[in-house]
Amino acid sequence: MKICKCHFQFLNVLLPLFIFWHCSETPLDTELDHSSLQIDTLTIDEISGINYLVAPNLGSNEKLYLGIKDDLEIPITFIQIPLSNPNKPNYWTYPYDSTITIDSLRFIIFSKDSLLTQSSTPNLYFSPDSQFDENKSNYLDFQNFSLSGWFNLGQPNINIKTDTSTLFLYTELIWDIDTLIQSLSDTLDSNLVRTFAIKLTNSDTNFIELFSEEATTGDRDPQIIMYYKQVVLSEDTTMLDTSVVNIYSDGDLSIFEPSEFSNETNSLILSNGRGLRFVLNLFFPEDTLPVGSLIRSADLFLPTDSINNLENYSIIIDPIEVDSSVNDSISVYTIDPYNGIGFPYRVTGIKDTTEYIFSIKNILQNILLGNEINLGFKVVADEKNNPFDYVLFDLNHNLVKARLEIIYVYN
Amino acid sequence: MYIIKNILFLLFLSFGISQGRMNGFGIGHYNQNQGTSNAMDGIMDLTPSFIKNVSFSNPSTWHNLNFTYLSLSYGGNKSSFTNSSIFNGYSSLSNAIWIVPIKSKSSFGLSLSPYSDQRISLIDTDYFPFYAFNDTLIIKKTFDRFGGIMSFKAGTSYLVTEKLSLGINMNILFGSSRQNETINFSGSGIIQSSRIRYNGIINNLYISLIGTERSRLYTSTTFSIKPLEGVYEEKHLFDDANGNGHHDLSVIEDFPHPDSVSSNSEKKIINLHNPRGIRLGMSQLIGESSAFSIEFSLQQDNAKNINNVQLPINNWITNTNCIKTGFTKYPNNLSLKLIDKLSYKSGLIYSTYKLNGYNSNITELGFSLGIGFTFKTVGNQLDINYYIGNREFPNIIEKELIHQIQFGISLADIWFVKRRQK
Repeated sequence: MKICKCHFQFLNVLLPLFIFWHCSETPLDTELDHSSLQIDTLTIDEISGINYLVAPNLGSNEKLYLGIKDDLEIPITFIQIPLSNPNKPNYWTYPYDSTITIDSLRFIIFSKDSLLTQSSTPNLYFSPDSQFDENKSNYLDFQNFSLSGWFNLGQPNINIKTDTSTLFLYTELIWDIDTLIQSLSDTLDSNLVRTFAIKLTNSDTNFIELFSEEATTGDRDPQIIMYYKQVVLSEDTTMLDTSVVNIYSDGDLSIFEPSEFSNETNSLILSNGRGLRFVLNLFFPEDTLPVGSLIRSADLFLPTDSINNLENYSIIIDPIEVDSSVNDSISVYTIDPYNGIGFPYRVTGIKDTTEYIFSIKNILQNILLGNEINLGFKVVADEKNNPFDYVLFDLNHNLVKARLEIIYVYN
Repeated sequence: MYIIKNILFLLFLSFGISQGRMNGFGIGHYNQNQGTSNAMDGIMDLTPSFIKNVSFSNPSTWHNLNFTYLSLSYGGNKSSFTNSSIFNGYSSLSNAIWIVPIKSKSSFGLSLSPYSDQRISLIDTDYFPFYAFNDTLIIKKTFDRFGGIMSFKAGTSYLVTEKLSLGINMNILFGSSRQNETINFSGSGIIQSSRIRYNGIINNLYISLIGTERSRLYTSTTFSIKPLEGVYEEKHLFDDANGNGHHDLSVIEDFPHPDSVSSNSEKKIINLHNPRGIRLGMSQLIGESSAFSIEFSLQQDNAKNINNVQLPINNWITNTNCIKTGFTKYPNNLSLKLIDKLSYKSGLIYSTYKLNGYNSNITELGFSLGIGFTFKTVGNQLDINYYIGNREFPNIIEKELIHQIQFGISLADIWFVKRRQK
């Protein structure tokens, strides 16, 4: 049997033929009236909401507060100092190192108030045992709280920092905590927590603001500065090295204690400091749109009451995944009974002149697809908002009602 | 070096040389209606133009070959429109065929060639406004179709008497297409994507009849054993935010997330294409190595369910009538003269395509000219063929001008012969 070799040379030709199977396409104009794709709109205004109260926790706020403002009282603020900062050595073992001599310890917090005087500053307290949870603790956990048994370190020294042009930068509140060296570095205490508290007592002001650990990436966090000398042996010489380390706070929390907020309107209210949130229900069953529809845009408009018009007040809407509120009969929840789905459906509203607009097409599309269930939406204020501000929503506003505007395409 | 030259050559072809409006009708533009179907046969199908008494497109003539042939044809097409800057081009394999004659009494052959080209990109002639929530959206629809149908043919011939031979081709159709129907507004398009996988079997029966010593008659009939059917799968609508035509994730994600949707169940649609037709051809020798030939063909598509498929242009061709005339000068590979090793083939074609529901037809008038060169004693042959055609559509002022160039190489040898042991 003979099969000529030259025939297989065709493979050399065939291969590139298929590889370089190209075309250039310029679209041709024609009438596409027969196209089955159609665009349509739908407006849903069956929207209702109900307020609920969750004891406020503002652990991620960029400020620490003390005192009374509006109808809110912040009796105490807690600051926790860690064993060591990430990727750093455990400085609290230095007192036991024979080559190291600790010269001084300073506890520092920062304020942007250039007029702060020593007489208007809080007292610092320390406890090696008191614990708080930055993300969970709230005023309900501290209803019978007392500072008796804490070390009172008194009021701080004030140091106003300016730049080279003598322009104000920030104010440092500095406490001398040399007396706490042994307590802070106690190796025998297996449950040692380095919790500090600040509280306004005998001061001439009733409200101050400070930077929290969320405000900056270290430099203005509440911190302890340790000044020390270290003996360094190098071959045949002995050197004495003077150094300093910053031990930054890894958790801080101002305890907000709201008084009863009077709402004389039928508006829904959002306020972080008061723990006010609301649940929004909108009628959107799976068969709202034709089968196979694609939502191009679904904008939820929530009109605000004209009595307060805040700029830069961020509001978040999150579809509810678990609703445990029906089992509770209490007026203030310790933790939020509505568990949101979060990513990717959690969205932040955009403030228009008189209303907030939320793009909720992602969750609505997935409700249509049967991937999610419509249990309503949790509406909360961003924790970074000023906790003393609040927004009123009037779902049945005289001029514009709350509504969901959907543009969709179907086949 | 040989391969590099090949690649460079094909690269040039690939970029140099379409979608035409015909691709948008029905299941696409049939390869047999696009000028010359391969470089070896030129414009003629039934009547011989490759070598004397042999047409690669007509199995009833295959047993007249003296050697086994392996032949490849590659074609480039260009479509342009009058009064328009629209220019489209593509190149592709147009035919690969392997024919084995058996003792000059019978033959069999296999071939692979495109059957229909479905690639087309259409854009709506007009924008139209849509009023939504105090806003005016400008809507523009587009339709893109990709893919096509290939044809794998298995054919055979048998010399019944000295004057009568029969041939048959079993034409197995397979392939797939993807349709993207898009509605564009507000910066991106919402796409309805669908896919069809095709299969079907269409047969052609051929008869060659020697009339007088110098004239021959050829005929063929087309019928479907299994009319073309498709498995239709419709995807969920998606917002093509990244503009690449696919439902995927990239830096900008399409909406909804591809994992959150599922396709509709597949649907089988039968009888998408069911051709029946007859062709008649006559060849008259002029001198010893030239021939004049003429062919007529009538074909009807009895597709029942083509309406169940979303078509780029909402119509399809129901009837195709065609007349071709050609002149061929066959090569003489035994001659030592260079001129005798050259072959010429030229022809004219006039076709009409009837659209469903239309009284007026698409008409095409074309001219083809081809040259071949035979080398080596077995009859290897190189062919080049050029076709130019003018196509007119009903209700459309613009005319389509088609250019096509085909290159072919045919290598002959003796296969399946047991050599004597040395």
